[in-house]
Amino acid sequence: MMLLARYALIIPAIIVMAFYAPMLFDVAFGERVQKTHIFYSPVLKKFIWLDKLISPEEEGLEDVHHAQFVQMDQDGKRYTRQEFEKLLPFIYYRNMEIWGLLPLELEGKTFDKNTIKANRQVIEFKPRQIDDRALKDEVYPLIESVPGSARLIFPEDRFRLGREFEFINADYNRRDEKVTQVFNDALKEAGFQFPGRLAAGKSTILKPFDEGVFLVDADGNVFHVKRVNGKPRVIKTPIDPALNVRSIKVNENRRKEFYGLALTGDKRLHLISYDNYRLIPLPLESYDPETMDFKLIINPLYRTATYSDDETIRAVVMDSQYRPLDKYQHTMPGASLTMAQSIFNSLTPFRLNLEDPTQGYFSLEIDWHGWRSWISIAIGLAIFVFLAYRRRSKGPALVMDGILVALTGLYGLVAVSILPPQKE
Amino acid sequence: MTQAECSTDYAIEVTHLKHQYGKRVIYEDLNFKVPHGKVFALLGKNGVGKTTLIKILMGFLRPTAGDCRVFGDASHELTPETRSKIGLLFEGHLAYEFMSIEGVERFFAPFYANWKQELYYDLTGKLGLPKNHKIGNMSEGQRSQVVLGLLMAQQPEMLILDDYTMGLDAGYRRLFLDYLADYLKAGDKTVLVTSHIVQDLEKIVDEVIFLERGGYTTQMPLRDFLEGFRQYSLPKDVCREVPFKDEMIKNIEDGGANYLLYSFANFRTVAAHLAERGITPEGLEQLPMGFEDAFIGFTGRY
Amino acid sequence: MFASILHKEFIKLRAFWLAALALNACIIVYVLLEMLKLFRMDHAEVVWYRVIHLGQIYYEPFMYVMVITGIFLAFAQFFPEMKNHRFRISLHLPLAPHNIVLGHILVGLVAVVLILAVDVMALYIMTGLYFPSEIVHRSVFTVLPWALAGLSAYIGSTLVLLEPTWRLRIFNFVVSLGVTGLFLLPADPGAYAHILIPLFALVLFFAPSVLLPAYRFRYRKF
Repeated sequence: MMLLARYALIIPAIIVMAFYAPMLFDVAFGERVQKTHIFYSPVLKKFIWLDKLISPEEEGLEDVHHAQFVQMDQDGKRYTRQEFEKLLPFIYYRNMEIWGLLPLELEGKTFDKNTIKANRQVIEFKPRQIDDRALKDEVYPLIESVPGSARLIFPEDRFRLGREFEFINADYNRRDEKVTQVFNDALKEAGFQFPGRLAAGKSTILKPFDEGVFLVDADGNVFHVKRVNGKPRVIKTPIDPALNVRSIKVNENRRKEFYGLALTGDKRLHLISYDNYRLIPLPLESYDPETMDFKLIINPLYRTATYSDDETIRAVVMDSQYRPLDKYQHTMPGASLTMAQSIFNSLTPFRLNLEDPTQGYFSLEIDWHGWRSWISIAIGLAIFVFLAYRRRSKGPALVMDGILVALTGLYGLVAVSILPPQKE
Repeated sequence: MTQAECSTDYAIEVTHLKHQYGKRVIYEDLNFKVPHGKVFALLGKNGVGKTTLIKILMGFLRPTAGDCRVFGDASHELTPETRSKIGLLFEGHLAYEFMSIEGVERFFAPFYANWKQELYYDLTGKLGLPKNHKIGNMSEGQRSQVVLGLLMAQQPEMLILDDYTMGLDAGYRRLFLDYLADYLKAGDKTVLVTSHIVQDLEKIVDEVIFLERGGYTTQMPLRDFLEGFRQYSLPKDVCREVPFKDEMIKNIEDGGANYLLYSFANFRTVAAHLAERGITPEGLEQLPMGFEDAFIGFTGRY
Repeated sequence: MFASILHKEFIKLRAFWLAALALNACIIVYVLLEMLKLFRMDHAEVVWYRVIHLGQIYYEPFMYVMVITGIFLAFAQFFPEMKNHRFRISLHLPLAPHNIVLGHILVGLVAVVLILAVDVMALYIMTGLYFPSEIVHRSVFTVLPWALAGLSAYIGSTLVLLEPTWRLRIFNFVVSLGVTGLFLLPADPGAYAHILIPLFALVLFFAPSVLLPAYRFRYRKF
């Protein structure tokens, strides 16, 4: 009983240490790992990026970096902040305007503020936004696409997609029979097979217009559903059900080139074109949707896709037909450990995480510190054996304690040392 | 020696007990044995370690060194069975304040096989309080009746009473002793009582252990103490050396016009002893004294 | 005999339990009023947007009251036992000490669980009046980790109260604070749903740890 009671305190103590010690360490020493911001400069025709360095640089470069932020291009050339922004005129067009550099001329074309604005679009897609990894809303609004006013307005109901396309009225918190009936009939008529697998729309009225929602049915067919003057407009898209669409992200933009992104079962990302829902595959080498943040930046001349895990960021620049023109790969400064981190990772074998940035739900994860875990375990075991020898400890607790220290290194050593077995 | 053999010999055995709080030594080498069926009094001024000893005997405190056995069990691992044989009165008459007179009886009854409910209500009935009266709303004297009632109902083989007189007026003290005397009639009960007030104990106590600061102890039958410990007066007006304590003169108190000397030695021996030290025993006189005077004489007033 | 221990603790705690229940009832009413206010201030569909899409948590007071309930009942139960070391009376009873202590803890945990269950039920019912079932479930999954925090706060407070030495009292405090904090991390509504079972197991595993300070209290060595 006392053996159990002791471990009932020791194991939570180890959990607490493994969770909070790395957290406190980060607060004290760790820089928040900042991801590199990488762009394709239409001026240089090169990739350029903005990094936050982990350690300060040598002297003499103060004018090209500030607070450890550096701007440089793929050839290693440094730029001041202003130079950097001038190399990205489509992104920093407001500053360009202030500096009197608009309209600008590139590749024989002239761009003024309005052309730039009208031809810009940014869409991001993160692992935690994948439908099966996200904390979903579960009930979505089907916004009126023809609101009859300047602003979009929320409908009085939201729908859930399951065995049917069911609408719940917010005023009464009850199923709206009439609307449910009308929309179900429309879906069935278009050939929708229940139960539905996936519903995706942009559930906000803070957007220029509304493109409704995309639904995936039981067979994998993709449907586009809009509410037009209160009535359903359902289109069965020609998207091949064999592609097994896993997630859709809708992104309404005045450019009206694509409805949004579709992630297919083969882990490839596509744009859903306004051209009869044609899927445009994006040429992303080594892209893993479950671990990488994706971003597509569109400007009047180029489309740049960047995708990154914790260590590496990749970029590919494409023409308007999404054919790759150039690509680049960059290891981010956050990938290498600082001195303090190496020491910390050698003293602690792992860290316990509840939050997983790549999914919406919490999960219990043990992140081992690679080969350095062995250092902590070796130190822990060495001290443990030394103390056990000096105190001439024995008994079943000694073996269990030893196993704990072997598994949890210094965490375990601290816990079993503060709570030595009771002598009876 | 097996536990069974051990437990047949003595109710309590304390051997080479040593205890200290930090650097303050409470006992250096305490040894005593309480045979079955005897009443032991553990006497001493406040702060000499009476309650500490009870705590050690009941396993609430681990001694620095030494061995304590209660009914043969090592005191720090009393079995539930052994505990059921011991009635323990905590210092300050600790009780569950949140319970009522009848509630507390109902709580304790199932734990003890020989529970005598009538004894409990006999005692608490004297309080003239309704049965649903909360213990927390009682005076210490009233509470002591409840606690004593529970101990009497338990009919334990051994009673341990830690400073039962604290907070009690003379009436309750007498009542307590009357019941204690009744309980002892059967003859097979062992009692260990600690106190700093002794006048009531005279009638029931068989043997006394005096605890003094620094861990000095004296153990003897009460009769021997009462008969052998004497008080002498020595007038101050006679010009002579001031008497001092030594191995024969246990204690000296200021008795106004006289010095009061305490010793186990008889008149003649004391007189000779004083003379030997250059103190004229002129005017030395033996005075009669009761248990309380003797106790104070033995332990010192302050 | 074990039942007597349970009954005794029940008598000891019932007034405090009712007080804690009253406090929780006040919070339930407050949360209900907060929710009604949301619907009074805005159209229902806008409230839905806020709560469903933006993750507004109008029932956050439950987080505090659940933790406070755990701490309060632990203090109500064990603080008077520490005064004059009254706990010795119970520990002198002819029953194995772990049974005595576990009996105490069992009553305390049940008392805490009952109140937390009232909170969760109340939230379930009131959310169900105005929100679709998905949101009702999500709200429940949002408060369940707080309820675990309440249980862990009870166990932790008991660990701290029973421990006789300051050194370990501080250690117990830090561990308890840490364990309780695991359930109170800033999180989107419902984010804990997938790890509730292992976390519940952790709390269950944590509970018998109170035997350790209780034994140290029982057989203490200075």
